[in-house]
Amino acid sequence: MALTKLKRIVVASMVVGAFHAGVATAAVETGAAAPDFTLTDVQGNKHTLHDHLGSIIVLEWTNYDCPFVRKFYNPGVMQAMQSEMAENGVVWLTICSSAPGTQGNFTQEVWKQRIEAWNVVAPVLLDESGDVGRTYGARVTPHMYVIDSEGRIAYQGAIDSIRSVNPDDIEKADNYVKAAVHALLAGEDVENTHTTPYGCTVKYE
Amino acid sequence: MKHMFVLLAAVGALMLQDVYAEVIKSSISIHSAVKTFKPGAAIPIALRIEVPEGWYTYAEDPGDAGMPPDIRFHAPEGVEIGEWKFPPHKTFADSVGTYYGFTEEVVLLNVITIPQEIPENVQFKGVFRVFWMICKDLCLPFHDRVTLMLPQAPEGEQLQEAEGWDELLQAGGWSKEENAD
Repeated sequence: MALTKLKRIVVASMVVGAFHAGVATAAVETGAAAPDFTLTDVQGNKHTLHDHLGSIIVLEWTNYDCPFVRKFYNPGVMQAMQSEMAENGVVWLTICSSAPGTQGNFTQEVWKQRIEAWNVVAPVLLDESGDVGRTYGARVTPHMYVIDSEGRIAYQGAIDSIRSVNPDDIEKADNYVKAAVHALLAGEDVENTHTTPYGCTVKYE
Repeated sequence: MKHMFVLLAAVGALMLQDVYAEVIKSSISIHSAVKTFKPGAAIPIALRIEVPEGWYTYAEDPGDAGMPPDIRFHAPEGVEIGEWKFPPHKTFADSVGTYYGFTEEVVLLNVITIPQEIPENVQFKGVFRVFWMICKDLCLPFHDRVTLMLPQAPEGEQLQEAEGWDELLQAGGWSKEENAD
């Protein structure tokens, strides 16, 4: 799919519509164009999804105080995945949609401390309005999306196959994100394109 | 709640769930229907999870988020355990999804079966390692280990019901008949 064909989403108008319909999230379809967005990371840098097209992209919805997120960050597993992906030319964008005053929403100073404490390498993009999260239908943290180099959703759902907060389960689980990215890097079809995500609810306003 | 976030802003990178974990407590306990066991016996057991006011823990199917209690049983070879039975759950919903669980407390039932071939005077010891979660507008994970120990009944002696078993079933919303299934 040519980059110019990527469907641009007018996020704000969609969100207003979603609220009026009484629906907080509207999932994107696997195989469909990934909605474009521009968000600012905790360092103040702007990131536009469209700018990364041509690369495989991983989107990770996060909340650093969610036990399911900590399951992967405390032992360094998420950071290792981010590094491995970067070494393979994969773009990894972490997004926090926690609204002000809710769990996982920090000041810039706290964000920097937390990122440094965990040695996080991927940029953390702030989506305090929840517009991008709702557009993608992000329900939980971590909720994962893999976008192929043509800008289509190739995978969405859980990070792995074991719904738990126990880090001991990570090695026993099937990692759906790694599997999807590795398949795309090898030019193969993604076997599991959609799984049920598990985690804490995204703390939308 | 707003005061909590003001406090957090003041303490910098302190993790919110660590703050809550200092004051919010949830506990588990393991119970059996009998005081003693005999070789070959099927023993009803119950795991109780106490949930603090204003919070809930999850059902077998947690819904759109969270996780059910994760119960791992460790016992001598030959001891078998069935599937955990959950009572009817409550339904919770917010703008993101629908969740299923329990407030105040939940009593889960199961049956362990002791093998026939077991030396005399040997005690039964079973260890339950449990991971569970309580939530309201945020979630706290807990894990603990509880041990069930039962002496072997002397030959010719009937098994005696454990004190408080009926009350536990009643508190958990179970009948004696359901426990015997």
